[in-house]
Amino acid sequence: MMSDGDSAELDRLYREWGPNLIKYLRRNLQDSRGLAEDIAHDAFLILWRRWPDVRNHPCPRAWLYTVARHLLIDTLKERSRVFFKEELPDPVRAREDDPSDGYVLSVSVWEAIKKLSDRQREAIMLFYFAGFKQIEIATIMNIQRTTVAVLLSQARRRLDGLMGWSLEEGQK
Amino acid sequence: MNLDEVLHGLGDNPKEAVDIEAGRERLRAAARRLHDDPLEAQRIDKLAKRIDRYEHDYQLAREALDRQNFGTAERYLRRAAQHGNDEAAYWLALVLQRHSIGHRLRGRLDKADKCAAEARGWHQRAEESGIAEALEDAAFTDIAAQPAAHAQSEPQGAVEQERNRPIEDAAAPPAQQAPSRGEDGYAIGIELQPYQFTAVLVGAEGQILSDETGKLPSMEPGAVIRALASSARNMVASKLGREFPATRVAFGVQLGGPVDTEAGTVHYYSKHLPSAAVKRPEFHWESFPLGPRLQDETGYATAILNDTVAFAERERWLGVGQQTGDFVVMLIREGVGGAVVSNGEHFKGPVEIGNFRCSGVDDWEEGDTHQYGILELDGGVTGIVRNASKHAEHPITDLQAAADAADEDGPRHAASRAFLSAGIAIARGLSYLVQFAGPSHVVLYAPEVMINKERRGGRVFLGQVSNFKEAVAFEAFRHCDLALRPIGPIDGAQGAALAALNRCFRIPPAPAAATTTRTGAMR
Repeated sequence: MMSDGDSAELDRLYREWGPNLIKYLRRNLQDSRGLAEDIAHDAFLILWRRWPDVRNHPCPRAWLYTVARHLLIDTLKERSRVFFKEELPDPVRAREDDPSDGYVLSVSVWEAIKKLSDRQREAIMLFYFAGFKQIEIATIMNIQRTTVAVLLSQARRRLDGLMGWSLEEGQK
Repeated sequence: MNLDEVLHGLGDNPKEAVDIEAGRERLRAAARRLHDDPLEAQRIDKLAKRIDRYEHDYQLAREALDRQNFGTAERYLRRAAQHGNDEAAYWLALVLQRHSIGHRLRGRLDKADKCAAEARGWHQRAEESGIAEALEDAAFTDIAAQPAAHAQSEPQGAVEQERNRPIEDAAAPPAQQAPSRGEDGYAIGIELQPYQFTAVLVGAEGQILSDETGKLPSMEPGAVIRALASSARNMVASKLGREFPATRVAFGVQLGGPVDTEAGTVHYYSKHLPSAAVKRPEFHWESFPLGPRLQDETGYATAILNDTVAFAERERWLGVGQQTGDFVVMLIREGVGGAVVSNGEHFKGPVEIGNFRCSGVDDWEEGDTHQYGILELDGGVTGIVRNASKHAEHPITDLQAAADAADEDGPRHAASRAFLSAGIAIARGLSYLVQFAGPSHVVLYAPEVMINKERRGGRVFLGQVSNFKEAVAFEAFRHCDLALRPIGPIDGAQGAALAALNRCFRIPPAPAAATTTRTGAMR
């Protein structure tokens, strides 16, 4: 059983990691907000039960995402949803809400991301949005590190082509 | 602004804001529930265990691929792929293609077509997810040798040292003692009985490599530990070599008494062989740390099991477990034991079905546990032999003699009444288990002579046992199949070895197709 100090640590971890984890889950659950929070909470409870072991893990945040991802897959299987078909922001509404250049730019990036394969998109999300390193993404996705590197490389090339961007030159 | 900066910026979408304070409050409430409600704790622990298994499936598959052990690899890859791992799906497709070629070369065209069709399905999934393309690109690209184009774009604050930490096994708890990557695991299984034992050595897929039996001159715990440890070491040395590393051997020991498998402690062990011909000193173990002591002696990761649980594990690998995750097992030896497998996992409680009291008459015989009127007094071998002597009014020393007497036409055939009582008791016990667990299958392990319809005792016994569903109150639970298993000489030891593979090395039972080639498959 965890001490009060451990409980405080769990609370700190939730404040630090919870929001991004919930966002990650929401994106994969087609924005089922309540369900994403349920899964995140179960993942944190598992983290709590295993904390004596996990606290010494090289990357407890990757461990947490790994657990959450497995719970997510189970949930999606139960609901017969396709894994990682992201519900990304609606481009038309976004443009109406805020027709600034920044938003139009974002919308075109989202549109391009939607066209990636499922695993390319997942790797991009974990790398850019959740801030994981390649080796941590390999852990979370339970695939080899080289596969992650290639997925990211392919995704960036594809985004580049889709959007007319050049990594070296910036916006064309 | 370049692509990297745009992508980094997308993570901060204000439309996706999370109400963190409400979430913290809910998490605190959930944590309190976890603390106060054992069922909630059980649910979370079950989820955690399932995730451990998911994590290990692909890791073990890759180890098997490294060893070119394609049968094992296929099993784990399929499980990982079924759980959504597209990289596993890709490798599974290749393994199945390989199997397909093998079948075609041997003229098994149906099987070849089946494998090829399944391979196409998995490959298609890997292609659709983008993993196939990535793996095929990776085969032609030495990512590690590339200039650090990707490394440069690692998120801010990345530290090289941290980047290279080995964290492949993220969700798994620290392993007990497991074979290293690319190495095979083995297990010794021992069935411990009063003054004797049977041992088997099995490989990672449960195949039996060798077996032996031994006598125990004493049941003093220290002497038993020395004898079992010596037998295990000798089997490993003779089959795998003297220098074979202990970390690659798991050790399972089962016996006819309640145990604490987590701690490796024997709660109580005091059974007696029903033989008047060879009288042995009585023995009595209570709260004895057999597991830790054996582990200290051998260096092998050790699992201690109740005997019926070991037989249930054998069923999980080789028997009805291939068709269902919900079954119960009853084992008839000197006493009677029970085990429940629910949703593919062993029920953790003791299931001491033989010690269920089934009569309020306190002047009945007393059992080994000093309980009166309990089920195994009629249903166990010791009880049958005692009852047969009483009914035949003739000294009968063992089960075979009881069955022989029951077969006679003279007055000693009254011994058959002992088999009748046993059948009634066992049917009652089966009905208890069915009403407790609601299984799809009921498995009864018994000495061959008790379920042999050529023998009068067997016919009488089975006549009663087959009626067990009549004592099940609700129609809904009566739809279960009864499987009869004569106890083979090494079945119990094999069950202990399979349990050791599973518990110490987390090797799961194989799917049905893989079991047909194993030595020791179901009769």
